[in-house]
Amino acid sequence: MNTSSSSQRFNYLFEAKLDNVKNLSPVLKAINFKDNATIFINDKGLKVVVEDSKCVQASAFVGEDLFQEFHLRTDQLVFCLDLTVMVECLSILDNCSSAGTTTALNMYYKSIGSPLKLLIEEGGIITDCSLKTKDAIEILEFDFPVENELNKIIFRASDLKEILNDIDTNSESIEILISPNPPHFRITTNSITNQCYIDIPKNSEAVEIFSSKSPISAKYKYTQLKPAIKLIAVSSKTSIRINEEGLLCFQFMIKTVSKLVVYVEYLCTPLVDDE
Amino acid sequence: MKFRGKIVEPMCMRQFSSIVLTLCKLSKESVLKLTSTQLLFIISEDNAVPRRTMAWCVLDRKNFFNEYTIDGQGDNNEINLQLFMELLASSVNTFKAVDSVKSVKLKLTDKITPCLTLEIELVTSIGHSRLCVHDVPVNVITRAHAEDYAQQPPTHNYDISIEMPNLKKLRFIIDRLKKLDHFVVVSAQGSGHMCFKVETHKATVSTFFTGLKVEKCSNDLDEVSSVRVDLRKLSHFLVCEQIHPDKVTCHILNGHLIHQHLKQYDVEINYYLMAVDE
Repeated sequence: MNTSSSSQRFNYLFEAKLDNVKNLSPVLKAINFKDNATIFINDKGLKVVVEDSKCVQASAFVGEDLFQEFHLRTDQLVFCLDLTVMVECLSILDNCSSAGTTTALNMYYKSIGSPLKLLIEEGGIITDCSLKTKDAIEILEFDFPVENELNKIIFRASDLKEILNDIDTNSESIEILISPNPPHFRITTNSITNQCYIDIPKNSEAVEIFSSKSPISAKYKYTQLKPAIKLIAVSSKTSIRINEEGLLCFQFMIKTVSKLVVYVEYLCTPLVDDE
Repeated sequence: MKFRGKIVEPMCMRQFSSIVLTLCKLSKESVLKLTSTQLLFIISEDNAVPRRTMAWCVLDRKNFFNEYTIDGQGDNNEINLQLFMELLASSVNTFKAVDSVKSVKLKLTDKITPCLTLEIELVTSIGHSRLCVHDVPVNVITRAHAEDYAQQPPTHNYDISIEMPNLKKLRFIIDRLKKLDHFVVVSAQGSGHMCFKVETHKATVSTFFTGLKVEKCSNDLDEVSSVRVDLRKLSHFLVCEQIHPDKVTCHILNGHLIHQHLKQYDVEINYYLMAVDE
Protein backbone atom coordinates (compact mmCIF):
# COMPACT_ATOMS: atom_id res chain seq x y z
CA MET A 1 0.00 0.00 0.00
CA ASN A 2 1.38 3.39 -0.84
CA THR A 3 1.76 6.11 1.72
CA SER A 4 -0.79 8.54 0.39
CA SER A 5 -3.66 6.11 0.59
CA SER A 6 -2.60 4.82 4.00
CA SER A 7 -2.41 8.33 5.41
CA GLN A 8 -5.85 9.01 4.03
CA ARG A 9 -7.11 5.84 5.60
CA PHE A 10 -6.28 7.00 9.09
CA ASN A 11 -8.79 9.78 8.66
CA TYR A 12 -11.53 7.25 9.09
CA LEU A 13 -12.68 6.05 12.49
CA PHE A 14 -13.97 2.85 10.96
CA GLU A 15 -13.58 1.08 7.71
CA ALA A 16 -14.34 -2.44 6.60
CA LYS A 17 -14.27 -4.43 3.43
CA LEU A 18 -16.44 -7.36 2.49
CA ASP A 19 -15.93 -9.41 -0.67
CA ASN A 20 -19.47 -10.60 -0.88
CA VAL A 21 -22.22 -8.33 0.35
CA LYS A 22 -24.60 -11.30 0.49
CA ASN A 23 -22.82 -12.39 3.66
CA LEU A 24 -24.32 -9.39 5.39
CA SER A 25 -27.49 -8.26 3.65
CA PRO A 26 -29.79 -11.26 4.40
CA VAL A 27 -29.05 -11.02 8.12
CA LEU A 28 -29.84 -7.32 8.27
CA LYS A 29 -32.93 -7.88 6.18
CA ALA A 30 -34.12 -10.51 8.63
CA ILE A 31 -34.05 -8.09 11.57
CA ASN A 32 -35.45 -5.17 9.58
CA PHE A 33 -38.88 -5.17 11.21
CA LYS A 34 -38.45 -1.52 12.19
CA ASP A 35 -36.72 1.30 10.36
CA ASN A 36 -34.51 2.57 13.10
CA ALA A 37 -31.43 0.59 14.10
CA THR A 38 -28.59 1.21 16.52
CA ILE A 39 -25.17 0.07 15.40
CA PHE A 40 -22.36 -0.77 17.79
CA ILE A 41 -18.88 -1.35 16.48
CA ASN A 42 -15.99 -2.62 18.55
CA ASP A 43 -12.85 -4.62 17.77
CA LYS A 44 -14.79 -7.90 17.86
CA GLY A 45 -17.20 -6.87 15.18
CA LEU A 46 -20.44 -5.17 14.46
CA LYS A 47 -23.72 -5.37 16.34
CA VAL A 48 -26.98 -4.12 14.86
CA VAL A 49 -29.87 -3.67 17.27
CA VAL A 50 -33.50 -3.12 16.31
CA GLU A 51 -36.23 -2.48 18.88
CA ASP A 52 -39.97 -2.27 18.82
CA SER A 53 -42.09 -0.49 21.44
CA LYS A 54 -39.69 -1.26 24.30
CA CYS A 55 -40.87 -4.88 24.27
CA VAL A 56 -38.88 -6.50 21.53
CA GLN A 57 -35.21 -6.34 20.77
CA ALA A 58 -33.34 -8.07 17.99
CA SER A 59 -29.58 -7.89 17.71
CA ALA A 60 -27.33 -9.30 15.03
CA PHE A 61 -23.68 -9.94 15.81
CA VAL A 62 -21.44 -9.88 12.80
CA GLY A 63 -17.92 -10.87 13.80
CA GLU A 64 -14.95 -9.04 12.36
CA ASP A 65 -13.82 -12.38 10.85
CA LEU A 66 -16.65 -12.07 8.33
CA PHE A 67 -14.93 -9.04 6.85
CA GLN A 68 -11.80 -9.22 4.73
CA GLU A 69 -10.63 -5.99 6.28
CA PHE A 70 -11.79 -4.44 9.52
CA HIS A 71 -10.15 -1.37 11.01
CA LEU A 72 -11.47 0.50 14.00
CA ARG A 73 -9.47 3.46 15.27
CA THR A 74 -11.33 3.98 18.51
CA ASP A 75 -12.63 1.73 21.31
CA GLN A 76 -16.26 1.69 20.37
CA LEU A 77 -18.63 3.42 18.00
CA VAL A 78 -22.37 3.78 18.49
CA PHE A 79 -24.82 5.43 16.12
CA CYS A 80 -28.34 5.13 14.76
CA LEU A 81 -29.42 4.90 11.16
CA ASP A 82 -32.32 3.86 8.99
CA LEU A 83 -31.91 0.13 8.50
CA THR A 84 -34.54 -0.12 5.75
CA VAL A 85 -32.53 2.27 3.61
CA MET A 86 -29.31 0.42 4.44
CA VAL A 87 -30.83 -2.92 3.44
CA GLU A 88 -32.09 -1.43 0.16
CA CYS A 89 -28.64 -0.03 -0.52
CA LEU A 90 -26.89 -3.30 0.23
CA SER A 91 -29.14 -5.18 -2.15
CA ILE A 92 -29.15 -2.55 -4.90
CA LEU A 93 -26.91 -4.55 -7.20
CA ASP A 94 -28.38 -7.93 -6.23
CA ASN A 95 -29.73 -8.82 -9.63
CA CYS A 96 -26.88 -7.32 -11.60
CA SER A 97 -24.25 -9.94 -10.90
CA SER A 98 -23.28 -12.32 -13.61
CA ALA A 99 -22.71 -15.95 -12.66
CA GLY A 100 -19.70 -16.59 -10.46
CA THR A 101 -19.06 -13.01 -9.46
CA THR A 102 -19.86 -11.37 -6.18
CA THR A 103 -20.69 -7.85 -5.12
CA ALA A 104 -18.03 -6.19 -2.99
CA LEU A 105 -18.77 -3.79 -0.16
CA ASN A 106 -16.62 -1.11 1.44
CA MET A 107 -17.83 0.67 4.57
CA TYR A 108 -16.45 3.93 5.90
CA TYR A 109 -17.29 6.04 8.88
CA LYS A 110 -15.20 9.16 9.10
CA SER A 111 -15.99 10.78 12.42
CA ILE A 112 -18.75 11.07 15.01
CA GLY A 113 -21.85 12.43 13.33
CA SER A 114 -20.70 11.87 9.77
CA PRO A 115 -22.67 9.62 7.47
CA LEU A 116 -21.90 5.94 7.07
CA LYS A 117 -20.59 5.48 3.56
CA LEU A 118 -21.18 2.29 1.66
CA LEU A 119 -19.37 1.65 -1.58
CA ILE A 120 -20.86 -1.27 -3.46
CA GLU A 121 -19.19 -2.53 -6.59
CA GLU A 122 -20.09 -5.17 -9.12
CA GLY A 123 -18.79 -5.63 -12.64
CA GLY A 124 -17.89 -1.99 -13.19
CA ILE A 125 -21.09 -0.61 -11.68
CA ILE A 126 -20.42 1.38 -8.55
CA THR A 127 -23.01 2.52 -6.07
CA ASP A 128 -22.08 5.09 -3.50
CA CYS A 129 -24.46 5.35 -0.55
CA SER A 130 -24.19 7.87 2.17
CA LEU A 131 -26.47 7.01 5.07
CA LYS A 132 -27.15 9.79 7.51
CA THR A 133 -26.45 8.78 11.07
CA LYS A 134 -27.96 10.01 14.31
CA ASP A 135 -26.75 9.94 17.87
CA ALA A 136 -27.66 6.68 19.49
CA ILE A 137 -30.67 6.57 21.75
CA GLU A 138 -30.59 4.39 24.78
CA ILE A 139 -31.46 0.79 24.10
CA LEU A 140 -33.08 -1.73 26.39
CA GLU A 141 -30.85 -3.84 28.58
CA PHE A 142 -32.36 -7.20 29.17
CA ASP A 143 -30.67 -9.29 31.78
CA PHE A 144 -30.48 -12.89 30.75
CA PRO A 145 -27.76 -14.58 32.82
CA VAL A 146 -26.56 -17.93 31.56
CA GLU A 147 -25.89 -19.31 35.09
CA ASN A 148 -29.41 -19.62 36.34
CA GLU A 149 -30.82 -20.85 33.13
CA LEU A 150 -34.10 -22.61 33.83
CA ASN A 151 -34.63 -24.19 30.50
CA LYS A 152 -33.26 -24.26 27.02
CA ILE A 153 -34.14 -26.01 23.81
CA ILE A 154 -32.12 -26.05 20.64
CA PHE A 155 -34.05 -26.81 17.50
CA ARG A 156 -33.03 -27.72 14.03
CA ALA A 157 -34.37 -24.61 12.33
CA SER A 158 -35.54 -26.26 9.13
CA ASP A 159 -37.86 -28.58 11.09
CA LEU A 160 -39.08 -25.85 13.40
CA LYS A 161 -39.84 -23.65 10.43
CA GLU A 162 -41.95 -26.36 8.87
CA ILE A 163 -43.85 -26.85 12.11
CA LEU A 164 -44.48 -23.13 12.55
CA ASN A 165 -45.67 -22.77 8.97
CA ASP A 166 -48.97 -24.22 10.15
CA ILE A 167 -49.43 -21.58 12.79
CA ASP A 168 -52.67 -19.61 12.72
CA THR A 169 -51.73 -16.22 11.30
CA ASN A 170 -54.82 -14.60 12.78
CA SER A 171 -53.70 -15.33 16.32
CA GLU A 172 -53.67 -12.58 18.85
CA SER A 173 -51.36 -14.21 21.28
CA ILE A 174 -49.07 -17.16 21.51
CA GLU A 175 -48.34 -19.08 24.67
CA ILE A 176 -45.14 -21.01 24.98
CA LEU A 177 -44.72 -23.77 27.55
CA ILE A 178 -41.48 -25.51 28.37
CA SER A 179 -41.62 -28.28 30.90
CA PRO A 180 -39.49 -31.25 32.05
CA ASN A 181 -42.58 -33.43 31.77
CA PRO A 182 -44.72 -34.07 28.69
CA PRO A 183 -45.69 -32.25 26.56
CA HIS A 184 -42.14 -30.75 27.02
CA PHE A 185 -42.68 -27.95 24.51
CA ARG A 186 -46.07 -26.60 23.60
CA ILE A 187 -47.07 -23.61 21.48
CA THR A 188 -50.65 -22.46 21.97
CA THR A 189 -52.12 -19.90 19.62
CA ASN A 190 -55.18 -17.93 20.66
CA SER A 191 -57.44 -16.04 18.31
CA ILE A 192 -61.04 -14.83 18.62
CA THR A 193 -62.45 -18.03 17.25
CA ASN A 194 -60.05 -20.75 18.13
CA GLN A 195 -57.19 -22.07 20.12
CA CYS A 196 -54.60 -24.38 18.71
CA TYR A 197 -51.77 -26.41 20.26
CA ILE A 198 -48.57 -27.58 18.74
CA ASP A 199 -46.63 -30.04 20.86
CA ILE A 200 -43.04 -30.98 20.24
CA PRO A 201 -41.81 -33.79 22.54
CA LYS A 202 -38.18 -33.70 23.64
CA ASN A 203 -37.31 -36.83 21.66
CA SER A 204 -38.53 -35.28 18.43
CA GLU A 205 -36.09 -35.15 15.55
CA ALA A 206 -36.42 -31.40 15.46
CA VAL A 207 -34.97 -31.08 18.97
CA GLU A 208 -31.20 -31.19 19.31
CA ILE A 209 -30.81 -30.29 22.97
CA PHE A 210 -33.49 -30.18 25.61
CA SER A 211 -32.96 -29.07 29.18
CA SER A 212 -35.65 -27.98 31.56
CA LYS A 213 -35.53 -27.74 35.37
CA SER A 214 -39.03 -26.57 36.10
CA PRO A 215 -42.11 -25.92 33.99
CA ILE A 216 -42.62 -22.40 32.74
CA SER A 217 -45.18 -20.87 30.48
CA ALA A 218 -45.71 -17.33 29.23
CA LYS A 219 -47.87 -15.51 26.75
CA TYR A 220 -46.65 -13.23 23.97
CA LYS A 221 -48.25 -11.02 21.40
CA TYR A 222 -48.31 -12.73 18.01
CA THR A 223 -47.25 -9.60 16.12
CA GLN A 224 -44.19 -9.35 18.34
CA LEU A 225 -43.16 -12.91 17.62
CA LYS A 226 -43.66 -12.64 13.89
CA PRO A 227 -40.18 -11.25 13.17
CA ALA A 228 -38.71 -14.16 15.14
CA ILE A 229 -40.61 -16.65 13.01
CA LYS A 230 -39.08 -14.99 9.96
CA LEU A 231 -35.64 -15.35 11.51
CA ILE A 232 -36.16 -19.07 12.05
CA ALA A 233 -36.56 -19.39 8.30
CA VAL A 234 -33.09 -18.01 7.57
CA SER A 235 -31.27 -19.70 10.45
CA SER A 236 -29.83 -23.18 10.67
CA LYS A 237 -30.21 -23.60 14.44
CA THR A 238 -32.57 -21.91 16.86
CA SER A 239 -32.44 -21.93 20.62
CA ILE A 240 -35.34 -20.94 22.84
CA ARG A 241 -35.06 -19.91 26.48
CA ILE A 242 -37.54 -18.43 28.91
CA ASN A 243 -36.51 -16.98 32.27
CA GLU A 244 -38.52 -16.82 35.51
CA GLU A 245 -40.17 -13.54 34.55
CA GLY A 246 -41.31 -14.96 31.26
CA LEU A 247 -38.76 -13.07 29.16
CA LEU A 248 -38.32 -15.01 25.96
CA CYS A 249 -34.97 -15.29 24.28
CA PHE A 250 -34.38 -16.74 20.85
CA GLN A 251 -30.90 -17.26 19.51
CA PHE A 252 -30.41 -17.92 15.86
CA MET A 253 -27.35 -19.30 14.19
CA ILE A 254 -27.32 -18.10 10.61
CA LYS A 255 -24.91 -19.51 8.05
CA THR A 256 -23.93 -16.97 5.42
CA VAL A 257 -23.25 -17.77 1.76
CA SER A 258 -19.53 -18.08 2.55
CA LYS A 259 -20.36 -20.61 5.30
CA LEU A 260 -19.48 -18.20 8.07
CA VAL A 261 -21.69 -17.86 11.11
CA VAL A 262 -23.66 -14.86 12.26
CA TYR A 263 -25.66 -14.88 15.49
CA VAL A 264 -28.93 -13.09 16.03
CA GLU A 265 -30.62 -12.73 19.39
CA TYR A 266 -34.29 -11.93 19.73
CA LEU A 267 -35.80 -10.92 23.06
CA CYS A 268 -39.46 -10.47 23.72
CA THR A 269 -41.29 -9.53 26.91
CA PRO A 270 -44.40 -11.48 27.92
CA LEU A 271 -47.94 -10.17 27.95
CA VAL A 272 -49.25 -9.37 31.38
CA ASP A 273 -52.11 -11.71 32.12
CA ASP A 274 -55.32 -9.81 32.67
CA GLU A 275 -56.99 -12.58 34.64
CA MET B 1 -62.34 5.31 -44.06
CA LYS B 2 -60.90 1.84 -44.25
CA PHE B 3 -58.05 -0.02 -42.65
CA ARG B 4 -57.00 -3.62 -42.82
CA GLY B 5 -53.71 -5.28 -42.01
CA LYS B 6 -52.53 -8.86 -41.62
CA ILE B 7 -49.58 -10.20 -39.69
CA VAL B 8 -48.46 -13.74 -40.50
CA GLU B 9 -44.89 -14.06 -39.24
CA PRO B 10 -44.75 -15.38 -35.62
CA MET B 11 -41.74 -13.13 -34.96
CA CYS B 12 -43.70 -10.06 -36.03
CA MET B 13 -46.66 -11.01 -33.84
CA ARG B 14 -44.41 -11.43 -30.85
CA GLN B 15 -42.67 -8.16 -31.54
CA PHE B 16 -45.92 -6.29 -32.06
CA SER B 17 -47.34 -7.65 -28.85
CA SER B 18 -44.27 -6.86 -26.77
CA ILE B 19 -44.26 -3.30 -28.06
CA VAL B 20 -47.90 -2.81 -27.12
CA LEU B 21 -47.28 -4.41 -23.73
CA THR B 22 -44.35 -2.07 -23.13
CA LEU B 23 -46.25 1.02 -24.19
CA CYS B 24 -49.29 0.17 -22.09
CA LYS B 25 -47.08 0.65 -19.00
CA LEU B 26 -46.51 4.27 -19.95
CA SER B 27 -50.07 5.50 -20.03
CA LYS B 28 -53.68 4.38 -20.13
CA GLU B 29 -54.49 6.09 -23.39
CA SER B 30 -52.70 6.29 -26.65
CA VAL B 31 -53.24 7.60 -30.13
CA LEU B 32 -52.67 5.13 -32.91
CA LYS B 33 -51.79 6.89 -36.12
CA LEU B 34 -51.99 4.77 -39.24
CA THR B 35 -50.35 5.99 -42.40
CA SER B 36 -49.57 4.26 -45.65
CA THR B 37 -46.02 3.49 -44.54
CA GLN B 38 -46.03 3.54 -40.76
CA LEU B 39 -47.95 2.74 -37.60
CA LEU B 40 -47.38 5.21 -34.81
CA PHE B 41 -48.28 5.09 -31.16
CA ILE B 42 -48.35 8.56 -29.66
CA ILE B 43 -48.66 8.82 -25.91
CA SER B 44 -49.32 12.12 -24.19
CA GLU B 45 -48.21 12.98 -20.72
CA ASP B 46 -50.96 12.66 -18.11
CA ASN B 47 -52.41 15.92 -16.83
CA ALA B 48 -50.17 18.13 -18.92
CA VAL B 49 -51.66 21.36 -20.27
CA PRO B 50 -51.05 22.03 -23.12
CA ARG B 51 -50.79 18.48 -24.41
CA ARG B 52 -47.24 17.20 -24.44
CA THR B 53 -45.97 14.12 -26.20
CA MET B 54 -44.31 11.69 -23.82
CA ALA B 55 -43.71 8.81 -26.19
CA TRP B 56 -43.51 8.66 -29.95
CA CYS B 57 -43.23 5.14 -31.23
CA VAL B 58 -42.82 4.34 -34.90
CA LEU B 59 -43.34 0.91 -36.45
CA ASP B 60 -42.47 0.34 -40.05
CA ARG B 61 -45.53 -1.32 -41.56
CA LYS B 62 -43.53 -3.18 -44.24
CA ASN B 63 -41.75 -5.23 -41.63
CA PHE B 64 -44.86 -6.22 -39.73
CA PHE B 65 -47.72 -6.61 -42.15
CA ASN B 66 -47.95 -8.96 -45.09
CA GLU B 67 -51.14 -7.31 -46.24
CA TYR B 68 -51.92 -3.69 -45.58
CA THR B 69 -54.61 -1.46 -47.07
CA ILE B 70 -55.53 1.97 -45.86
CA ASP B 71 -58.00 4.51 -47.09
CA GLY B 72 -57.70 7.44 -44.77
CA GLN B 73 -58.36 11.13 -44.40
CA GLY B 74 -56.68 14.02 -46.10
CA ASP B 75 -53.77 14.24 -48.45
CA ASN B 76 -51.59 12.23 -46.10
CA ASN B 77 -53.98 9.32 -46.14
CA GLU B 78 -53.99 9.01 -42.36
CA ILE B 79 -56.24 7.52 -39.71
CA ASN B 80 -55.90 8.68 -36.12
CA LEU B 81 -57.49 6.56 -33.42
CA GLN B 82 -57.63 7.08 -29.72
CA LEU B 83 -57.73 3.88 -27.69
CA PHE B 84 -57.16 2.39 -24.27
CA MET B 85 -53.82 0.64 -24.31
CA GLU B 86 -54.86 -1.86 -21.67
CA LEU B 87 -57.63 -3.20 -23.86
CA LEU B 88 -55.30 -3.55 -26.80
CA ALA B 89 -52.66 -5.06 -24.53
CA SER B 90 -54.99 -7.75 -23.24
CA SER B 91 -55.82 -8.68 -26.84
CA VAL B 92 -52.26 -8.80 -28.11
CA ASN B 93 -51.23 -10.70 -25.01
CA THR B 94 -53.17 -13.69 -26.31
CA PHE B 95 -50.85 -14.14 -29.26
CA LYS B 96 -47.62 -13.29 -27.55
CA ALA B 97 -46.49 -16.78 -26.69
CA VAL B 98 -48.95 -19.06 -28.45
CA ASP B 99 -47.44 -21.10 -31.25
CA SER B 100 -50.82 -22.09 -32.60
CA VAL B 101 -51.61 -18.60 -33.89
CA LYS B 102 -51.62 -18.67 -37.66
CA SER B 103 -52.37 -15.07 -38.43
CA VAL B 104 -53.59 -11.84 -36.88
CA LYS B 105 -55.79 -9.43 -38.77
CA LEU B 106 -56.26 -5.87 -37.64
CA LYS B 107 -59.10 -3.90 -39.09
CA LEU B 108 -61.23 -0.89 -38.45
CA THR B 109 -64.85 -1.87 -38.02
CA ASP B 110 -68.07 -0.10 -37.25
CA LYS B 111 -69.90 -2.08 -34.60
CA ILE B 112 -71.87 -0.31 -31.86
CA THR B 113 -68.95 2.09 -31.69
CA PRO B 114 -65.97 2.25 -34.02
CA CYS B 115 -63.65 -0.59 -33.14
CA LEU B 116 -60.20 -1.81 -33.93
CA THR B 117 -60.97 -5.46 -34.49
CA LEU B 118 -58.31 -8.13 -34.05
CA GLU B 119 -59.10 -11.41 -35.74
CA ILE B 120 -56.78 -14.07 -34.43
CA GLU B 121 -56.69 -17.25 -36.42
CA LEU B 122 -55.72 -20.27 -34.38
CA VAL B 123 -54.99 -23.85 -35.34
CA THR B 124 -55.88 -26.60 -32.91
CA SER B 125 -53.61 -29.58 -32.32
CA ILE B 126 -55.62 -31.70 -34.74
CA GLY B 127 -55.60 -29.09 -37.47
CA HIS B 128 -58.99 -27.42 -37.04
CA SER B 129 -59.13 -23.74 -37.64
CA ARG B 130 -60.53 -21.40 -35.02
CA LEU B 131 -61.16 -17.69 -35.19
CA CYS B 132 -60.97 -15.49 -32.13
CA VAL B 133 -62.24 -11.93 -32.48
CA HIS B 134 -61.36 -9.07 -30.15
CA ASP B 135 -63.01 -5.69 -30.50
CA VAL B 136 -61.15 -2.75 -29.02
CA PRO B 137 -63.39 0.33 -28.98
CA VAL B 138 -61.70 3.40 -30.43
CA ASN B 139 -62.39 7.09 -30.91
CA VAL B 140 -61.73 8.32 -34.38
CA ILE B 141 -59.93 11.64 -34.15
CA THR B 142 -61.31 14.20 -36.54
CA ARG B 143 -59.08 15.93 -39.03
CA ALA B 144 -59.13 19.16 -37.07
CA HIS B 145 -57.81 17.46 -33.94
CA ALA B 146 -55.39 15.24 -35.80
CA GLU B 147 -53.16 18.31 -36.16
CA ASP B 148 -52.10 17.83 -32.54
CA TYR B 149 -50.54 14.51 -33.37
CA ALA B 150 -48.98 15.48 -36.67
CA GLN B 151 -45.50 16.37 -35.53
CA GLN B 152 -42.89 14.55 -33.53
CA PRO B 153 -41.48 16.84 -30.82
CA PRO B 154 -38.49 18.74 -32.17
CA THR B 155 -34.97 17.58 -31.43
CA HIS B 156 -33.04 20.11 -29.40
CA ASN B 157 -29.42 20.93 -29.41
CA TYR B 158 -28.69 18.39 -26.68
CA ASP B 159 -25.81 18.84 -24.29
CA ILE B 160 -24.89 15.20 -24.49
CA SER B 161 -25.98 12.05 -26.27
CA ILE B 162 -24.81 8.94 -24.49
CA GLU B 163 -25.47 5.25 -24.83
CA MET B 164 -27.63 3.89 -21.99
CA PRO B 165 -26.16 1.24 -19.69
CA ASN B 166 -27.53 -2.30 -19.74
CA LEU B 167 -31.26 -1.67 -19.33
CA LYS B 168 -31.98 -4.87 -17.48
CA LYS B 169 -29.44 -4.11 -14.78
CA LEU B 170 -30.48 -0.49 -14.65
CA ARG B 171 -34.10 -1.53 -14.20
CA PHE B 172 -33.25 -3.56 -11.11
CA ILE B 173 -31.31 -0.65 -9.67
CA ILE B 174 -34.03 1.90 -10.46
CA ASP B 175 -36.60 -0.38 -8.83
CA ARG B 176 -34.53 -0.33 -5.63
CA LEU B 177 -34.16 3.43 -5.79
CA LYS B 178 -37.92 3.73 -6.21
CA LYS B 179 -38.29 2.55 -2.63
CA LEU B 180 -36.19 5.44 -1.39
CA ASP B 181 -37.65 8.43 -3.20
CA HIS B 182 -39.81 9.61 -6.12
CA PHE B 183 -37.18 11.52 -8.02
CA VAL B 184 -33.81 10.75 -9.49
CA VAL B 185 -31.10 12.99 -10.88
CA VAL B 186 -29.74 11.53 -14.09
CA SER B 187 -26.41 12.94 -15.12
CA ALA B 188 -23.85 12.21 -17.79
CA GLN B 189 -20.38 13.34 -18.73
CA GLY B 190 -18.51 13.40 -22.01
CA SER B 191 -16.01 11.00 -20.48
CA GLY B 192 -18.61 8.21 -20.69
CA HIS B 193 -19.84 8.35 -17.11
CA MET B 194 -23.47 8.20 -16.16
CA CYS B 195 -24.89 8.61 -12.69
CA PHE B 196 -28.31 7.99 -11.17
CA LYS B 197 -28.65 9.76 -7.87
CA VAL B 198 -31.37 9.78 -5.26
CA GLU B 199 -31.21 12.22 -2.40
CA THR B 200 -33.48 12.01 0.64
CA HIS B 201 -33.18 13.27 4.16
CA LYS B 202 -32.12 9.80 5.20
CA ALA B 203 -29.53 8.98 2.60
CA THR B 204 -27.86 9.85 -0.66
CA VAL B 205 -27.47 6.97 -3.06
CA SER B 206 -25.70 7.27 -6.40
CA THR B 207 -25.02 4.55 -8.89
CA PHE B 208 -22.27 5.11 -11.43
CA PHE B 209 -21.76 3.53 -14.80
CA THR B 210 -18.54 4.04 -16.70
CA GLY B 211 -17.20 3.37 -20.16
CA LEU B 212 -20.40 4.27 -21.99
CA LYS B 213 -20.20 5.34 -25.60
CA VAL B 214 -20.67 9.05 -26.10
CA GLU B 215 -22.21 9.93 -29.43
CA LYS B 216 -22.20 13.65 -29.17
CA CYS B 217 -21.08 16.09 -26.53
CA SER B 218 -21.32 19.83 -26.95
CA ASN B 219 -19.48 20.65 -23.73
CA ASP B 220 -16.14 19.87 -22.14
CA LEU B 221 -15.57 16.22 -21.42
CA ASP B 222 -15.80 16.56 -17.66
CA GLU B 223 -18.76 18.92 -17.58
CA VAL B 224 -21.82 17.29 -16.07
CA SER B 225 -25.25 17.55 -17.69
CA SER B 226 -28.05 16.53 -15.41
CA VAL B 227 -31.82 16.39 -15.22
CA ARG B 228 -34.02 15.60 -12.24
CA VAL B 229 -36.89 13.38 -13.34
CA ASP B 230 -39.75 11.32 -11.98
CA LEU B 231 -38.30 7.98 -10.95
CA ARG B 232 -41.52 6.12 -11.67
CA LYS B 233 -41.70 7.40 -15.23
CA LEU B 234 -38.10 6.47 -15.88
CA SER B 235 -38.73 2.99 -14.57
CA HIS B 236 -41.75 2.65 -16.88
CA PHE B 237 -39.55 3.31 -19.84
CA LEU B 238 -37.02 0.70 -18.74
CA VAL B 239 -39.65 -1.99 -19.26
CA CYS B 240 -38.81 -1.65 -22.96
CA GLU B 241 -35.82 -3.82 -22.16
CA GLN B 242 -38.20 -6.70 -23.06
CA ILE B 243 -38.16 -5.80 -26.75
CA HIS B 244 -34.39 -6.34 -26.77
CA PRO B 245 -33.41 -3.06 -28.40
CA ASP B 246 -30.27 -2.85 -30.52
CA LYS B 247 -29.42 0.53 -29.17
CA VAL B 248 -30.77 2.97 -26.61
CA THR B 249 -29.42 6.48 -26.56
CA CYS B 250 -30.03 9.03 -23.86
CA HIS B 251 -30.05 12.65 -24.99
CA ILE B 252 -29.81 15.16 -22.17
CA LEU B 253 -30.71 18.81 -22.30
CA ASN B 254 -29.20 20.10 -19.08
CA GLY B 255 -31.86 20.94 -16.52
CA HIS B 256 -34.74 20.48 -18.93
CA LEU B 257 -35.25 17.22 -20.68
CA ILE B 258 -34.20 13.65 -21.18
CA HIS B 259 -34.93 12.16 -24.56
CA GLN B 260 -34.54 8.41 -24.68
CA HIS B 261 -34.18 7.08 -28.17
CA LEU B 262 -34.62 3.38 -28.67
CA LYS B 263 -33.84 1.72 -31.95
CA GLN B 264 -34.58 -1.82 -32.87
CA TYR B 265 -34.41 -2.94 -36.49
CA ASP B 266 -38.00 -2.01 -37.49
CA VAL B 267 -39.09 -0.06 -34.43
CA GLU B 268 -38.18 3.29 -32.99
CA ILE B 269 -39.34 4.61 -29.63
CA ASN B 270 -38.75 8.16 -28.47
CA TYR B 271 -39.48 8.86 -24.85
CA TYR B 272 -39.46 12.38 -23.47
CA LEU B 273 -39.01 12.97 -19.78
CA MET B 274 -39.38 16.52 -18.54
CA ALA B 275 -37.34 17.81 -15.64
CA VAL B 276 -39.04 18.14 -12.27
CA ASP B 277 -38.04 21.06 -10.08
CA GLU B 278 -37.09 20.50 -6.48
